[in-house]
Amino acid sequence: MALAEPMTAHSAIAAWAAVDAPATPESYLQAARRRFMSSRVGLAALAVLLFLVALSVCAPLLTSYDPAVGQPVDRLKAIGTPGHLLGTDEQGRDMLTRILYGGRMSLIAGLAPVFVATVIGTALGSLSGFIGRWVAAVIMRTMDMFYAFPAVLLAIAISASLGPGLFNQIIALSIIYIAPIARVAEAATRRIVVAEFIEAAKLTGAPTTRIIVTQVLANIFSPIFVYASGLVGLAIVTAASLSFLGLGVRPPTPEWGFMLNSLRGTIYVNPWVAALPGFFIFITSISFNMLADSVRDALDVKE
Amino acid sequence: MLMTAPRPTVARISPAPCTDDTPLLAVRDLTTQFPTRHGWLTAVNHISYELQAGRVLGVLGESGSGKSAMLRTILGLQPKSTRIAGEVLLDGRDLISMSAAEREDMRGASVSMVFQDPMTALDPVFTVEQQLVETIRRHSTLSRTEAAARALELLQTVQIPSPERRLKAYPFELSGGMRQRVVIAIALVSNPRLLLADEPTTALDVTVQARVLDLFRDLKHRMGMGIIFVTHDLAVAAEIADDIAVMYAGRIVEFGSLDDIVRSPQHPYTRGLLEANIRPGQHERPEAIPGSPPNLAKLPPGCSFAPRCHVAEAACWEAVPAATTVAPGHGVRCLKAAVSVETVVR
Amino acid sequence: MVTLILRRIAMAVPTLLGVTVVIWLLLSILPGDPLAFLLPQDASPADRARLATELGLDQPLPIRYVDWLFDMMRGDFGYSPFRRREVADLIAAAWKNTALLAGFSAAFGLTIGISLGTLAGVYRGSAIDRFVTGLAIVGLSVPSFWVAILLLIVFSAQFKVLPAGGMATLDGGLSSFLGHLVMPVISGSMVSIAITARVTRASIVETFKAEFVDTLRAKGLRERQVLLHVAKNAISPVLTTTGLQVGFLLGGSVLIETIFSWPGLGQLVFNAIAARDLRIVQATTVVIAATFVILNLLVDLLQMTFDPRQKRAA
Repeated sequence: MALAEPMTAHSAIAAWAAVDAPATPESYLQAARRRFMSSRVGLAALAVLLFLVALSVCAPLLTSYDPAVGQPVDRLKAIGTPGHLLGTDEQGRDMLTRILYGGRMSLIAGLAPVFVATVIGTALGSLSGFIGRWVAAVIMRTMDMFYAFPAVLLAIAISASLGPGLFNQIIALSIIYIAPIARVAEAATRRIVVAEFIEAAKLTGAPTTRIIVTQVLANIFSPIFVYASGLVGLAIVTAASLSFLGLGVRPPTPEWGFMLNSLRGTIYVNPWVAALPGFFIFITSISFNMLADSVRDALDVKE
Repeated sequence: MLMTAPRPTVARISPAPCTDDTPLLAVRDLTTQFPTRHGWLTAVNHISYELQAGRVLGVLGESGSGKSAMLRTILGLQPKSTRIAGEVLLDGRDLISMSAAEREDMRGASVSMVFQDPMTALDPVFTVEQQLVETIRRHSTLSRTEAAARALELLQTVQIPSPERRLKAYPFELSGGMRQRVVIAIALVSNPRLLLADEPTTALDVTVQARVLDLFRDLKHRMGMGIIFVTHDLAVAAEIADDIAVMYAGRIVEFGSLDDIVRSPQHPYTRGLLEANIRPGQHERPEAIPGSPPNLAKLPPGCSFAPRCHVAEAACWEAVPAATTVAPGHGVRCLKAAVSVETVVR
Repeated sequence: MVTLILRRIAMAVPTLLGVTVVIWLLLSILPGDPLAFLLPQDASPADRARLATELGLDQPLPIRYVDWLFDMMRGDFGYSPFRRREVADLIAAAWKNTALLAGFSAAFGLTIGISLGTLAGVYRGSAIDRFVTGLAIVGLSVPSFWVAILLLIVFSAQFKVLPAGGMATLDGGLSSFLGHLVMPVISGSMVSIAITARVTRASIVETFKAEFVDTLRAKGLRERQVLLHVAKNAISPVLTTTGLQVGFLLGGSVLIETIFSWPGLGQLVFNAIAARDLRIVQATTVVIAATFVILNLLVDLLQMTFDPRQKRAA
């Protein structure tokens, strides 16, 4: 029986096996980074946000007008007026200037509460997830109570009782976001706690707090980060809502939500200038939401 | 003494042709491919066979061998992105080239299918009666009351105890065996010519399994339909099949009567399956075939089984072996089949 | 079934109590002087002490809470010096108007959201799907009060086809009644549409993956009939979010009602904030939260009828 040329067979086998060979393994964060860098939507959203942050940080360099004081003779100029690219408001203040400065307050009012709530919510959630028993019962049932409120309304009520001001607004918004973050943190921690490496850490007799900090937090980071980044877009809009109702920064400091409200009366005279601050709230919020979606996909976290 | 192996003749793998009647089902060169990130995955690879009415074809293979994909292709259940080539002729009519509307009329009428897992095969929020009646009314002009009567009759056919009560039940109120009987009852609604059964007993307990197999045998004798019975379990196939097709990596590697396959298996894979099966009086753990089936998106050149085959030689890696007939109605795709025959004979 | 319903209703009681505790604690303990709003600027410390005693503010916290709770349960929400009316009367009048607006908004949001979500789910991966997914992210991001202002600019300021605000009763004719509703309903239900569309799409896509869909197709059902089965299975998660949506609608009502001068609870809250009448804010928040809890309860009960397991659990 004539055997076929062995080399042919061997090279065929080698070629086939080569296709199957696994590539160099990637770490989780490397893979996440690669996925994020290949998301056009995420990169575009990030670029828009960096641009908005740069604009509001560099506001004094970009405009020579005073955001708080205007020229009454220049009231309600339309978009495109020479010297006032985006027109002027009802007090004759330059809109471009106010939008640039206003971005600072809007961004802070949206980002700060999510940050504060993430820190507190993660602490509460991981603690109850890790310890369980009555600690979890007390903390998580308390958190449940916050779910019985329409969140925006609760923020309005708290803000109203604290009085207007940026700081009070941040407190009010932080309170409403603690409960959802605590829930996410608790669920993530409970999943992790049963994992073997935590059991191992417990057996070595390491103190609870250290296990939480070193082992648990490192492993629940992704789901919490994804959830919290999804809240930022919402928080920007909610913060602007509070300001719109007069519960945010006090005038004449510019802030987009409040600007929208004070320009409300001018829609019959200078409509598109009146709509401008809302446009910026929208662009910021949608950029954060798109960025959060890309981050979620990149970190491969299921909601 | 070494015998010269009879020169195998190249032939289409198919059961012995019956001279006087045309087959109920003729599958010709059927190929099903799914798009994947790494190119086309060939789940069903140039399959051809014929099935006579009143006979049961047992399709035997491991998971991922393309058995289910083949059944779903016949019934047109594959997603739109699937690439399908070849013909599936039911009483001479091609199911593959049918329009979507024709296919909807064909399903459940001339061809029915029973799925593997009765726990998930029924809609959880509709009663058994609703699910039977809508099928009956879809394929007939019966009134609601007549359809309900027919539904009861069908439950009696599949031997469900106290059928009146079961009609009003939701699937979650029935045991696995009973649910599978309901699934079978739905498949029997319009006395199909062809019944496709995708591992219908795998998810059931052994005792329930035996009773459901009894039911299939009973249906075959009473209704005279052709059945394609897909299973990974040779013992189950032996209980019910007249003919056996052994599938590996999307191809039929051996075809023959139950007797041919059990008594003189030709393909090393078939023999592996037989050895992996517990025989009476055998005490050791049956030896499974070492290795795992190939990635269907990256088939090896030549025989797909070569990487796991203990008798493979260089030639096996070069080209897909042609189908050869070793006996009337018994075909195999293996270069070593001739040698194998001899081994078995000795 | 009855026991299950009663148990679910009983579960709402502690939630309602919790709501009152949270509101009461937040508004009593947080920094901020409740008397500052009630006293004239030049009040003397003696006036201050007298008012504190009158309002029971010198009592220990738990007693003050219980008093407040019992007053509320009797329907006594206190008196608003600023509006010169009983708070309960103000709330009762406004509640109906908010319910009307929220009802229309929820109906509109659910109808559009479910339709869009179903289309996207059935034709997943298609242009329609991408359009709906994009629309959903816009709806989630867009500030409702900005949409309201854009609508006002276009339909009231530019084309003058819709009234800029206020509410009309049916006595004034159907077109006037609906005309006043159009803009508040559209701007208020943006988030609702977005969430419903997203959840519906996800639920439909998930249900289509279920094996019973194969059985339905295998038995020859037309694609339209298959979709009916899928829809009935997919409805549950959508219903679950309706409670959440009503929360958004009620919370958002403060902004929408303020912009469109809709005489509801939202506007009542806004005016009370402006007048620093915390009593109204507190009472209205409790009423809205209670409405929210009860609506969620109703949604849960409705959901039971779609789940045969719960329907059969007697």
